[in-house]
Amino acid sequence: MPLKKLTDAELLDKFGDGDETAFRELVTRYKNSLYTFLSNFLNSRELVEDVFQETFIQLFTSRESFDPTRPLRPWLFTIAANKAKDALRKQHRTAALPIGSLVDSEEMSFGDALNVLTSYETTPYEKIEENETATRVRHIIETMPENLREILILAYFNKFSYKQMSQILSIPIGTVKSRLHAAVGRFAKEWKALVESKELK
Amino acid sequence: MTPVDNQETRLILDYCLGQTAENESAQAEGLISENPEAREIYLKIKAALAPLESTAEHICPDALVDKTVNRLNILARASQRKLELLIAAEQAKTIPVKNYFWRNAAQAMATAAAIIFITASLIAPLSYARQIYWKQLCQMQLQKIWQGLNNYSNDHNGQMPEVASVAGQPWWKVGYQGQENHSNTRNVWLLTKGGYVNAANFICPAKSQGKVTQFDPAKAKQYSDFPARRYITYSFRIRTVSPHSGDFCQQKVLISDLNPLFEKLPSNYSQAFVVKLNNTLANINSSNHNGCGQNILLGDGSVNFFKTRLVGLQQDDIFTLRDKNVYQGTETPASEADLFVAP
Repeated sequence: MPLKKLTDAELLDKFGDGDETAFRELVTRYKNSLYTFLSNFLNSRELVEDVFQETFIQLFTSRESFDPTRPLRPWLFTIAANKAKDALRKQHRTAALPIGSLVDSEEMSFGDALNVLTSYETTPYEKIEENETATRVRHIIETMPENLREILILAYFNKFSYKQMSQILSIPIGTVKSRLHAAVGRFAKEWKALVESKELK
Repeated sequence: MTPVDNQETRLILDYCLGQTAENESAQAEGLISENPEAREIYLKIKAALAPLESTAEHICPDALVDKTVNRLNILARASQRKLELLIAAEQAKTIPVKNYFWRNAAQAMATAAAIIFITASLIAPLSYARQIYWKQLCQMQLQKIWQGLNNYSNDHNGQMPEVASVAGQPWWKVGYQGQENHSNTRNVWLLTKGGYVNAANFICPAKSQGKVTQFDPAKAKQYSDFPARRYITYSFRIRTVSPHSGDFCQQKVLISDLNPLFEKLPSNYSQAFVVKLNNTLANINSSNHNGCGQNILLGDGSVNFFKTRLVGLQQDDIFTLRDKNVYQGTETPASEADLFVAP
């Protein structure tokens, strides 16, 4: 049977036996979604490439613990999210989190998020040059707190459901929802501020 | 026109985020097409999220795929080679068969002596290794509590888990399930009650000697504190009632291994609680790790093992309050700089 027609579980089985073609097929199957997730989450290409490789290495070394009745994609992203967070922590090990950041959280309530989201009178990004938009959006995402950034990327760019994100991040579904609402609220707030600053100029 | 309620607004937002099931999507679409207010909300949310569409999917470079596949091949070959070598070594091994192991009494005694010697020499290192393992496990648990604190804070508009209490109330009544907010462990109980931190993480593995102590999780929702002291073997920061004292505090201590002063708490909450500081209590380390030191979770999220009770630039004793020799379980530090964990 051609490899392309194999299910993820069948492919992982061959992958576990050391089949080189299975490695390639599996990596190819998830390369772009994983690369997109890591590129949005991490701030350097070097880190992205390291974590990308480490994710598949970890998939191979922990293949015995994978339950073949469950989908592979959330498991792969669980590994990737953990590896990416570890990489960021290693990078910022010297910069300690101040106690204030525990209390002065960056999150906003559903009501606040909604107020920001529904405060647009026009399509906001028309005011910014089209080619500039992607760069600005990336910058806003990059500067978000880690917990909001990861949830926004997983939900918006990788289209994971609330339940899958809850499994990937090991947090309750309620937390996933409130965090995602806060993330989109924060994004909209920062984008609006950017547009308004352009208007003033 | 019926005004759009909170639940319907959430549905529209989830619909815009692609987080609705098929039936919910149909419901959202119906709402948007029939209710002008819902349509307006939908359009505004879509407009706010539109810039996100500009970031296209990142294309993974082929070179990275090749590099990854190569590393996987090397790893697979190495594991295969290791397995082959192991099998070959096992097959090549000659196994001597002894027909008369207990040849005579002297040989039996020599064997027994050797077993006793080996066992005796192994006990100490094994116990040491176990202590190290528990110490590390304890640090991991404290980090999980830190993570839980962060998640809780993120879900509650930056608020830390806290129950309303009155200054001067006792903080030592761990396990008290009455209406009054006695005991400072009620704050962290919210982490377990809310599913942010597994209850097992509040028991230092070294203190429990690795034994799992569990209470009925079905009853947990009804509790307002840990059901008994044995379920929580850490001590927590007691905050000053005058936070704006102006003192500079270099390191904040959030949680530590059990404070030795308050190891034994009265089980009868109506009894008075008095601890007088003596020379031993003023110097010993927490009993969690056999008195060798204590793991401490600091305000920056790091967990360190301190061999003494003194922390920070000012070398403040975290188990006692400054100028205090008698404790009745209601004391609070006079300033932020006087670090104090209890009970």
